[in-house]
Amino acid sequence: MIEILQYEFMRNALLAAVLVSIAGGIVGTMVVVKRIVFISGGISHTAFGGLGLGYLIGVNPIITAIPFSLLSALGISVARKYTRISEDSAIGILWSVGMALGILFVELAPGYAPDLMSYLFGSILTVTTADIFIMILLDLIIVGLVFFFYSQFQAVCFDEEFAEISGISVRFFYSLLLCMVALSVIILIRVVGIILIIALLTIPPIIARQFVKRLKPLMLWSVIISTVFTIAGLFFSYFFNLPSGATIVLTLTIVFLISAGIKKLSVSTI
Amino acid sequence: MKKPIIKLENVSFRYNTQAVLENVSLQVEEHDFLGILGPNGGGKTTLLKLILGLVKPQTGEITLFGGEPSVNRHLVGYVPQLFNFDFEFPITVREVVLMGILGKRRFRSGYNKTEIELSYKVLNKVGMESFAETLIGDLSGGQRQRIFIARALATEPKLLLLDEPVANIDQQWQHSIYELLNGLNKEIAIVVVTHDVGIVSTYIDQIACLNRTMHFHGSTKDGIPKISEMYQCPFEFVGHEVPHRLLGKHNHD
Repeated sequence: MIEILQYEFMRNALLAAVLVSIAGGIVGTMVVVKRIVFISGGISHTAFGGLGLGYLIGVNPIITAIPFSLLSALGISVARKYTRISEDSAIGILWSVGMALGILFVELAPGYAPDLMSYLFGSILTVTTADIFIMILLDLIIVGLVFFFYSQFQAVCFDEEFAEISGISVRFFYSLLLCMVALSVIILIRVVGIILIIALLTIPPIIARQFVKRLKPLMLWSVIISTVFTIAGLFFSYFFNLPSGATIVLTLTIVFLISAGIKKLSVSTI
Repeated sequence: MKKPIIKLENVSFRYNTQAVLENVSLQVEEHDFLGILGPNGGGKTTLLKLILGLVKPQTGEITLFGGEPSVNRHLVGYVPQLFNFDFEFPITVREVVLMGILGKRRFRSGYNKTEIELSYKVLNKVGMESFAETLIGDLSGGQRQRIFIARALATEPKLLLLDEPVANIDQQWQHSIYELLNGLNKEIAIVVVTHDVGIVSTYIDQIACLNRTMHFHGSTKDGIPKISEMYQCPFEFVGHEVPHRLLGKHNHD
């Protein structure tokens, strides 16, 4: 068991598991309590356009995905405020446009895109040291924002109307929240891939929420649960030679089902 | 001399082509306790949004504390309908109340001692200080309403604006909430918007009926028995004429 830690790819993978769990646990908690899971799905799929662009211009696709996911976050926020397009329609459009652009870019890019699948479904064992640095940077931004604006985020998530009236810039903090979702998406792409990102944003907070009812502990426990079971999933995938992203997601799902069962039993025995 | 707090002059508002409010005029002054009654869909919520500057009227003028509603709305303690909330949301009573203070600060989380003290003071005012660390989801409807009133008070308002404050709250709590408002009315003006005529009547001073157009009935001090008469009517399909007639007293400008 210990000897596999000698490999750099395994050390990076373990580090990545922690880093994705910090972003996924904190931002995911807000995604779940604010009920913007679908919006987050839209933001993550739009990022695929950026990945394609990276292939086309020969830059690390993670870097080019950043402006795409941020723009889709802001686009959704703007659509909500200034247009008569409903939020979920705007998401639907951005979602598919992002995917379409991605496919187009990849097709136009010279040569073959061998690791495209790893961006779609994740590949924690191929996380590079450069990826780790990007993840650390984005994690720091997210943790910093939540630390400074915790009360504002909580207020805007709970009651936008009152927040607006009492002088909090709801548009600013809502946009900022979506931008944090966008940054978490970037952090998560390498580990679970565009298509499975939503799982790491939602499943850990939902497991935690059954047992923890306050916002800060909920964030903390989501991070812990996510870390533990992402690493567990990583080991399952390593030892059984299964695709890592899917194994991590299914591990979390099984934990969720077991925890829901425990919760149900403990409630009915009281 | 009383100062006008809310002033609406010939205000009309439409969504697309549908007129929601037509030619509404209204004046609320210091220490007033006004009830705005109307059926669901009669434009009550739109009226509140106009007063708070969340939407702008197509015609007519609205002033709040003598200025733009969107500029002065921080002087209003707003108590929204409980109906719209997700009470599964992880937030404690004290965190809800502290939301009232949050708008006045920039770029800082956490609260100082004065602010924490203020939160206890307003919780004390609504008789809920022992619930500070309770989750909002663990309270009853009536208790939640008290917390939302405390949050509004934490903004240190000069006007309390309540949207259906007793909807879906049991009888006993309804009375206690109006008692509470009655006490608060000694210091600040209160406007209650509701479709529930019966209970409002015994506490409020003035009534205006709203169903697309508004009729201000002035003081109800003499008219209370007649309002309860009106309560017997099936309110949903009352045209404005009906409550009007039953109230008996018209003080149109």
